[in-house]
Amino acid sequence: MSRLPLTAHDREVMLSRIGAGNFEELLRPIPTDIRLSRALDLPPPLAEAALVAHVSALAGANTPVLSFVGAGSYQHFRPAVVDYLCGRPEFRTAYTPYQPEVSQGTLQTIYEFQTAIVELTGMDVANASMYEGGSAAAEAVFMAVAATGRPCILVSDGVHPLVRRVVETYAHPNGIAVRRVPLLGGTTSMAALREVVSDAAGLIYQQPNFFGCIEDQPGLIEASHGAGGLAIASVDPLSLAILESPGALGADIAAGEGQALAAPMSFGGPGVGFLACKQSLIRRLPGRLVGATADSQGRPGFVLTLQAREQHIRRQKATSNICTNQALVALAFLVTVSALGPRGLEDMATQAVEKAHYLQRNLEARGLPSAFDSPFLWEFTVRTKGPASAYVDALLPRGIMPGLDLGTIDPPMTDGLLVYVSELRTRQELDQAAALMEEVRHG
Amino acid sequence: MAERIIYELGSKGRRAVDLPELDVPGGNLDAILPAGARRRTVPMLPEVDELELIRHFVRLSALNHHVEKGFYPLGSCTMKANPPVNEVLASLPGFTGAHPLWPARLIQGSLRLMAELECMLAEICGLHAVTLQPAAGAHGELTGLMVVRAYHENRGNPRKRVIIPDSAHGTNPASASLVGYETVEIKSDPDGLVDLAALERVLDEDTAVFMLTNPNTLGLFERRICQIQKMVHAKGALLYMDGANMNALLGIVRPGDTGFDLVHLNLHKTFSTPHGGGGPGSGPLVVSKRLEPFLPVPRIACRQDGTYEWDWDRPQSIGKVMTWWGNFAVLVRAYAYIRALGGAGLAEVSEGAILNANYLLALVGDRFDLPYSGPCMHEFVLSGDRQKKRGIRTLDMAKRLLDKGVHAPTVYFPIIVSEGMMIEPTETESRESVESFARALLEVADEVEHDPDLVHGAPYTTPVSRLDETRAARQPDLAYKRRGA
Amino acid sequence: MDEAIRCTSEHEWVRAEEGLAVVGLTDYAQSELGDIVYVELPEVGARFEKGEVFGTIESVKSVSDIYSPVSGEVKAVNTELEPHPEFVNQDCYHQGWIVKLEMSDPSELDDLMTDAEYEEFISGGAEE
Repeated sequence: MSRLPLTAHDREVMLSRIGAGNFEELLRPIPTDIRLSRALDLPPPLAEAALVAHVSALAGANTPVLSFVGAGSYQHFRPAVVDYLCGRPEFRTAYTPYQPEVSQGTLQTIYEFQTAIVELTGMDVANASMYEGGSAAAEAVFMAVAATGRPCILVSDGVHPLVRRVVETYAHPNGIAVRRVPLLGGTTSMAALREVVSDAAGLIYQQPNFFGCIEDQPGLIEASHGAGGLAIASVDPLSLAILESPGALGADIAAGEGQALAAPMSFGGPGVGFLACKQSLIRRLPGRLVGATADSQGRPGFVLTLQAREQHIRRQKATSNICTNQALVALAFLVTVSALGPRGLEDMATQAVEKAHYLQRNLEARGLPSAFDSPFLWEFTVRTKGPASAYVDALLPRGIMPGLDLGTIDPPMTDGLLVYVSELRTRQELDQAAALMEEVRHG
Repeated sequence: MAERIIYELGSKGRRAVDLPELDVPGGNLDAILPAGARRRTVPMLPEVDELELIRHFVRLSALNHHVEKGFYPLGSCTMKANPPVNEVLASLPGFTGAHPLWPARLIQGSLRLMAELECMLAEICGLHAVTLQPAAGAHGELTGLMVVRAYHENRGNPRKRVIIPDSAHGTNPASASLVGYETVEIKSDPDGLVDLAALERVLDEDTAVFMLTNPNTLGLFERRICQIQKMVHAKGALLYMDGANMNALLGIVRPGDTGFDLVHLNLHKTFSTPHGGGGPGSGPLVVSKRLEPFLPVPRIACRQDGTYEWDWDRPQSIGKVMTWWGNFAVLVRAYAYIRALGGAGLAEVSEGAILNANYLLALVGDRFDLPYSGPCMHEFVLSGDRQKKRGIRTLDMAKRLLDKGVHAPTVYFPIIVSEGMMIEPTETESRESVESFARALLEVADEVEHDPDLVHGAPYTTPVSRLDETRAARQPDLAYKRRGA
Repeated sequence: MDEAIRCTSEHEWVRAEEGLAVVGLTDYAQSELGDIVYVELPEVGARFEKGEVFGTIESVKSVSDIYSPVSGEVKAVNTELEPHPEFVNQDCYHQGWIVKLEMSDPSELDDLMTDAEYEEFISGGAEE
């Protein structure tokens, strides 16, 4: 391999300085019987041009389609300036800002990211990012359990089924009971909630929920608070340009996925999780926090702060084990919202809403009504005539993925198609999709 | 000169990008949204034009040290070069445009890449199966401990304790707590290795797993690994390897061959994916055959015809540790890295890392205390005790190094070394580069002797001098608030 | 040091005052910890056994448990420490007190070190 810098001459000079006759001497602490006596059995090396050809062929083996699938991973307009700035090596090839004097760039961008999350969610404090939305929700559960001392959490069936699965996975080893709260007419059933709420650490709900429906957020928060629990909102940050923030409505924790405003879908990652809370929960917040301070000459600057919560100091008593997070994607989120600004963000959200409603009316007129009456934003559930899978199968050969077949999720809804409309879809695309779906309806 | 907060820049009404005109009937938002659901206040977000936006972030970027600017010997973090071609490959539209819930027939390329990466990582580790789902090393640890717990539960008893050496990363005990295990810490022996007698004393039928970093955080290979694995397995416990230091072992030793049952890898360390200022990373978990049933869902399955699909039918699985399937774009980079190097190339990586570390140690070792001797693997730990007697702490020396255009080593870790400096040069640094860092460190050692005040006041040439961490923690200011707001 | 105080091996001091046990952190402890940034206080009304953890104290780079030197019920907590954790550094025996306990067994005080014994304890400890 020629790309490594050490030449035969270098090795000779270095070994001589070390006082070793050959490289093998440096490996003498390793018992010989456990040494690998052959080369790793991997495909032969590829020079750069061949590598590009090979990996491009793999990328080409994916089939792009006109997609109406959202369900937690969203395609939106991504301003060119986002990748332009995030590709800078100063951001890309630095690490966690352990030496703040030479990391002010990263630190300030994280502080600005925290601010954006605080503003959008209406919370008092946000951390420097989580891995993604599901594990952020799970960490929010730990916060609520620790704050209340109650080892039980309520999860609305309106929460993304895979996020729910993550929460269950994290809860199980800790003996935290996860109780599901069913939906009624597309939104969380208040009656069912009241039955189970009494001894829970809190409720996680999603706004808008997985099926696209807008929940009665004040009602959910009040019910959880009334029983002494916390209210945890799982939110799409773009929705917060037009929907009231969970913080303003009194929720205690907001957790969510910021991919929609930061990164391409990239088959699910990386995105960027966020976690924000009220001031009273600040010391239970996991992960990194950046704070403003001053240097020895009084100049403003930033540092990682409240680190005593974290694993490298508190070890087994830490609030979480998180170390590496999603800093570069958090930066992409910050650049995106900065490029759009508050009005651009509202425009983007509004356009997606208008286009989704245009398609929904169109489908309804063609005999494909919504499954639920609740208000929605850019995602809605169509009640299909016959199995939803038939619509997917029929439209895919035409290069269109008409939505998510809800027969594939838990619990299955075989005649449900979850349709997402990005602001990037044109009227022509919407009309075409609607017409093709009508054809399927007629069989 | 400080860069202002972006929320202070610009002017009301400015924006950097536009959206196209709405091409469907509009103006319905008020009718669509219930009044109570509508946001009442406009969030305070930046209002800047595109050039202001670019200048802000370009100026901020200039305040960072990074691998492509200079030496970055942060021990345990493996700050190696990040090949630019991998950025290009991760950005291929076929990858970036794929939705995680598309049917398998649309995403054969992504699935195949993941399946092949799993195979390659299993071979590198000498183990059986891989999950690519964990988003970072600590997330891989967490997943691993969940798998350990599920394994023991399946045998009728989840067991109670995780044993961890006192030299371990803080994430190890934190991860153990997150899955409901108690942590037992054992002291290292005078050579900095696992003390077998101490291990024997705490190992029992309630031990779920022994978590070991190999080479350990002192940069030393645990040469009694075979005895360790026999002791651990004799009690029915599992042996976990924290693979943060895998950069020392590629093609030299495979964890599975030394008795480890499971290991997490940090793709952003060993496999060259960029650290991104703190992420995104990726922390695949590699396990032995008996642990495979417990891995997160879904698994990738290869059909008879050579195509791939998701397999959700895994009744013993722990569940899911993230919503989707892993940090896919990071996986593309790691895949490309391994494909570029091949088996022999990976072995050269570790040889280069070990050679550079030992060379650097030879160049600087006699000017510092070296608490544990012997050839190191890919990194080594010095102690600043000698300098402390002159009133200069390791923190001071770290800050002084910043003035010399290099990043400081990891300091005060592992916690068993007083005034510790953990130095990892990586294989991508040339001999001249290693020598240049050695000169910088020796200059600091000289300054400690001749002009300690100079070191104590460092850094001088960085964008800011030392920051007041006490103030930051006493009066946390974690989000900008507009004056008067 | 103060004649009236008793100390624990975990570096808490306790002083009987108007029938209550006032508890704080010793000067040695605060100087070892460095700048205190946060003190997590118990709820008034909570009960603790001798040796039980009733709170934590945080410096920039460390966090330590605070152990109850005697058994009893919390009657008051020093809420001034919330805005001013530095009181523990500046005046650990007075302004920096942490809690006041109603002792369930005042004789427990006799088991604690006198200030002279504590002085000896920490000077021995410093050699470690």
